[in-house]
Amino acid sequence: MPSPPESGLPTTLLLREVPAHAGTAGTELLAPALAGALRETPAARCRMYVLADLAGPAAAPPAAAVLVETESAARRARLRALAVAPPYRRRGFGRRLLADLLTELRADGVRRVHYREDAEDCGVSALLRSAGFTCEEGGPGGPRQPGAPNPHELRETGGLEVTYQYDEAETGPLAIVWLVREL
Amino acid sequence: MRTAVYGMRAPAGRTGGPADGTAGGTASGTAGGAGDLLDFRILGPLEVVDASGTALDIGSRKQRAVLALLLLNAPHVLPLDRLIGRLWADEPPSSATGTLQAYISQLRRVLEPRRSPRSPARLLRTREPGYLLDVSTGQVDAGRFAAAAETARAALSGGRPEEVERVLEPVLREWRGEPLADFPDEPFARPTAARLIETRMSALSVRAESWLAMGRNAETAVEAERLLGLDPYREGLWALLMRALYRDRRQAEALAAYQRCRTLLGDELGLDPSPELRRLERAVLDQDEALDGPGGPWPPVSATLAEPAGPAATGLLPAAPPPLPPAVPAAAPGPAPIPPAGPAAGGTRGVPAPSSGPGSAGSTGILPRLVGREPHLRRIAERLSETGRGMGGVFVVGGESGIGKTRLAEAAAELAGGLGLTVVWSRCAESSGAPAFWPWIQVLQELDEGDGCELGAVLHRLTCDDPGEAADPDTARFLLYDAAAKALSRRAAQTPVLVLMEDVHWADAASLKLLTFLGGDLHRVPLLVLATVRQESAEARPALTAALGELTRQRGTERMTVTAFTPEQIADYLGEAGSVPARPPGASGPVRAPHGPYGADPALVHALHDRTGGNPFFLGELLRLLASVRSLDQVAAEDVASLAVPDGVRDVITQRVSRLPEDSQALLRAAAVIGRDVDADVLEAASGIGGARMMMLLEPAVATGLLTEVDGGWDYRFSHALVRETLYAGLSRLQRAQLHGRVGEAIENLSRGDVTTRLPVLAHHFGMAARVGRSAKAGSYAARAAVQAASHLAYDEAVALWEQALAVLDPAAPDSASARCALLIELGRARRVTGDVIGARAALDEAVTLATRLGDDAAVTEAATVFGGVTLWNWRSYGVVDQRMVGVLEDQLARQAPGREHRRAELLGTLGVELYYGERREEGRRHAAEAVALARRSGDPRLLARTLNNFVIATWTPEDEAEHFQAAEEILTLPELPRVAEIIARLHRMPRLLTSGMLAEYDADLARCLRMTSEVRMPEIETQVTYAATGRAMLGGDWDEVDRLSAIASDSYRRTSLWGPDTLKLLCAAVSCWARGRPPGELLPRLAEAGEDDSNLLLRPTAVLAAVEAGDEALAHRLVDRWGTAAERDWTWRFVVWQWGLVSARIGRPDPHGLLAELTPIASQLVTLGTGCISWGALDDTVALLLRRTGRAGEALAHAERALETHRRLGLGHLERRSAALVRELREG
Repeated sequence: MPSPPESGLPTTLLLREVPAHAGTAGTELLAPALAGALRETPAARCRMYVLADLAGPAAAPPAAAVLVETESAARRARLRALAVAPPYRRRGFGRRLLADLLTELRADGVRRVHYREDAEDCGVSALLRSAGFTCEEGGPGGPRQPGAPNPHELRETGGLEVTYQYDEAETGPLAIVWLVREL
Repeated sequence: MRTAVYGMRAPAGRTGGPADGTAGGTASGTAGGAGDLLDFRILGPLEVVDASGTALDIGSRKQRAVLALLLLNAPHVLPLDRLIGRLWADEPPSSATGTLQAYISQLRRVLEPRRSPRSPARLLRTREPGYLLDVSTGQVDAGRFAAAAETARAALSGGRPEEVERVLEPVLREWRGEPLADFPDEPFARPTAARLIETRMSALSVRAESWLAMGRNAETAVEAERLLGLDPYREGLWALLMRALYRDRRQAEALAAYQRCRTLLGDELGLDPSPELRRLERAVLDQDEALDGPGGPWPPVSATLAEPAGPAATGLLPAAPPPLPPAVPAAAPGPAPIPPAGPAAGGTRGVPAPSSGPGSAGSTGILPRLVGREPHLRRIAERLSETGRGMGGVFVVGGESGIGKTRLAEAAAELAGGLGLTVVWSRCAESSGAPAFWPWIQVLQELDEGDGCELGAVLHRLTCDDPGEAADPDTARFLLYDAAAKALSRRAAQTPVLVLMEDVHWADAASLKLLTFLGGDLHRVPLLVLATVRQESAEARPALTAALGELTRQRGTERMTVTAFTPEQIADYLGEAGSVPARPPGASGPVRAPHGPYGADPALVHALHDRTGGNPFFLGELLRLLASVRSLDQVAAEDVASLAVPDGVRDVITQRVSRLPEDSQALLRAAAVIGRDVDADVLEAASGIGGARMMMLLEPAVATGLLTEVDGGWDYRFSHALVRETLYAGLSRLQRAQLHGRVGEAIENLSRGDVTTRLPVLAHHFGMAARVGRSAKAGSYAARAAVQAASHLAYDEAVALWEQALAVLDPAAPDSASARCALLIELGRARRVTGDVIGARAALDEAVTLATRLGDDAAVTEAATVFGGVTLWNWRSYGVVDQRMVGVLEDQLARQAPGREHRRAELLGTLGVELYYGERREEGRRHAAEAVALARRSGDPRLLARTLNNFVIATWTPEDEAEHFQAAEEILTLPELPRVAEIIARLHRMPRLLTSGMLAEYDADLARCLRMTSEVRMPEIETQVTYAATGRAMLGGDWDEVDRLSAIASDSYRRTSLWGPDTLKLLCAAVSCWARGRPPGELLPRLAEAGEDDSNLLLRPTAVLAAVEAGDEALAHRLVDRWGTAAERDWTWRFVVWQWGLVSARIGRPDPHGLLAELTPIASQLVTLGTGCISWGALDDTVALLLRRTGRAGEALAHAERALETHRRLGLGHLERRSAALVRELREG
């Protein structure tokens, strides 16, 4: 369990890219989302970033993590999942992670980031909306992939951490809403 | 990449002036620049086209806006804050800075796709306080257009209308639409676009005029009509149209055109045509001949004909008012008079304004301009020109942090360069594991580049792990220092040298010793060392205090303090800062302007003075902070007062840091843990992010001047020590420890197994991380670094490292007790070498205890015999026998297996010394004699020297005087005698020379000791040699010298020995007071009090004598009653009986007869105490006084006459006069 820095101390949290494959240390936060993404997309297109404490033990789990899928040719990226570890919640780290991520993507030449809204999860949507993402019906996601897994419920991990799971919903009664932001 | 030594990078080369011509805020040209092939187009939507004609993908709208802003401002620096203010006015600076940085990164990638991530950007450069696009006029379509328009205008007015079309045609084709068409609503784009459109209109008008001049009248009329369609209110075009029609023989149409113009102006603007146009109408009516020629009193076709826009003086584009106000003023005192930023190769290193060219500064009294530092510079100039004439020295510049010491050093460097001196920079590193001799290593490296092998050889010895041939540490160190001094002198003989050594308060002890060693000779060498020292740090470091003290005593050393600005100087400074933008790229200093942007508002000046206390760095940082929130020309006193700056400069820095993106802040904090110089490889490895991203994150810190780039843009350096300190101080202890651990591991990994060159830095980082699981590494690296330091002859560093190894030892680790014991022995040994007797004993005592408990005989013996090494005095307090140690030694002797004679000799010798003060002294003498015998048999000269020294001390009694002296003499005959052993042996034989009156021999020995001591620099030895010199001065009656030397000696004694600094000082004072016939005054109570202590037996008679001298015989008797009148038969005996003799002669106690029995046999000898700290004349005088006391006047006179004769023979004037007086008294009865 990571111990969050005491408030008031200068933070030494830094965004780091980590290999996007199952089993990468510190990515438990996003494990289910990653598994889902890897079933749909080549691993080379998945990128995972964590907000890790430089002044924490090397093995400490990250404060927050985010998974994106990039389409370099199209200069687009799809945000697939974002999660903040429980001890760090409600302290602005989600916003920080998102800002860092957008900076990083921007520096890589990405122009447009999209996210498929998950009706059961307001947290990420609210975060994205407050960060300037706007609704776009239909969206840029392309054709749906039938049979994509849908573990979009809140998941308990060992009773200690609650991990948000953001992933595509199967074709359902709800309209598909894409949140999009130009960079 | 520069050579890395010990994991440290040498600071960027600073031998020359600014490293490139771009310092000062603008880039000069693009010769060879990466941007040569790119073409920037704004005559239409913003476009960048590469050499093959392909338009680059320059990204999103915001990214394009960033590029456009930079382009409009090129080639000037656009401040970061300005850029953010234009594009992200609503966002907090930290996130906006991050976003901007991402765009800058992406733009660089697009504009310079083939640049490797580690090479500096050449097109879109970072320059404090922001960014600049390093492009030339020819690379921008608008620039080309403006230039062509100007050429065309000149051709037309020069009567070459045929050239106009050729010049304008290609550039007119470059127009693709409205300028900056993709930024129609951006306020920054509008003025430029309008201006460009105007320029185009003018150019077209010029072209039409040229057609008319070439007789193409009909075409001109058509074109004029077309242009009027675009802008119908231009009278010049109406005039052109009228003239074209007239010349085309269409007078009626010309007059009709006039009417159209008049109607238009009247209807729409309510104006009449201008007098010129009316004159033209009249001319047409009159068919004036002037209408057929060029020119005429008509409205000019274009404003540009009369008043060319041309390329703007300050930018690439035809913008009379630049699109943004001049950039640099907002950055305030960046490169202005006292920039806090340290040196950075190729950076914006501020250089003071030279008032003249090379060669004239200093010698002609023309100094670089530096606010408030004129007296300093004047003095430095004098010293530099003396240095040029062969008289160097050490110039210490002191002052609080941020006061401008480095700035002054830079000015000195400039002066020195002007005088033709070679300038070399070096810097001491703060607690970041710099190797021993680090500042000197830098100096030698720099000088070595142009030199032969001698400096290189010294450099090698400073850095290699081979201690060389001389195994005796002190000799080795002397030889090393001597070699360094000789090599530097020879180098300076070629060209005089100025060494600028910064932050000497952080220098390692070895470097300080080398500095003081050199300092002694520099007054006759053309080498000046200008050392900067932070005052507040100096007080906390005894090694530094000692070094500065010693330097100050040397010829050629001078100290100067830099103080805070006065309000007047702040006003001056603001004036200078304001003039910065006027500095042309090639000029190396600010051109003084009468008023800066601040004007001379006294309220502002006072507010700034109140806030900063006149500290220039603080002032600079505060102005930068102010500049980041508002334009500085609008700053007023209220802004300063209302700024949320609670206290000091650290708060200002903290606020500046908080404006950076959070990731940048995190990275900077990690960098602060690495040190002032940030090795980018280490930071990259420690942070776990890629190099490109690391550079991106650090960019804003560079752009805002918190960090500077060195080494061609790869490594970094904090612009000022305070920046690093502030960041570091902001971290919690736990954060620091973790970060140090990471940094240590990063260095370890980067070393790829070969850590020998990085031991000190690894010991440092792991030491700081010991409490977070790195104690094993911390201990192991510290121990290895200690061994290495000792092999580099840096003994003080070795002590510190052994202490560190002990401190980080994990008590819970297996074998921690035996590990601790081993470390304690090493620490004891190392402390012994540095002369720290007290510390050595503490460590060794603990080691003995620990080893005894562990049953480790070898360790016990090893620890116990460290002290048995060559020593001047017994190492215990006066009169103390350490029974425990005696027990340990005896126990070990009993257990020694036969055949281990070497170890046995050591133990016996040590025991002999240990027993000296007790009743078993005679037994100890025998042990010592046996030790000598064993050593003789072994044939080992070192062992013999050691045991003989033990013997010398064990036999330091009146009875054994002959043997004592003989043993000391024998030591001096031994081969390969270490310097310390030689000095000690001489000090032991010298008292015998003195008492026998062989003063010439004594003086020769003393001189040799003094010389060797200055080479060896062991405090313990230095003290005793100084005492011997004190005693000699006393013998000669040179009382001022006595006072001076005894102060030095007791001061240094205090730091090194176990017993007696106060006692000896008091004794010296009392004896010289008595000798000068002065009343003892306040010395008496001090003596009486000190005498109460049994360890001060030897000063009791002196105290009683003082009571007698003070006229208080009652007190004298009381003291005798209380203390008795014993005289121990040890090294103090001769002195003590002499003193009792003087007392007895006055008050009859102790019994004069008893004293006569003691003194008469040695009456012809002189008096001395110990190794000569107090010396006096022949005892005949005292014997004479005692004889008179006992009524034997005749014998008394004989002794007094003999004393007179002795003193006369030896040339001891003051003693001769005393003896003569006594003889007179006795004769007169």
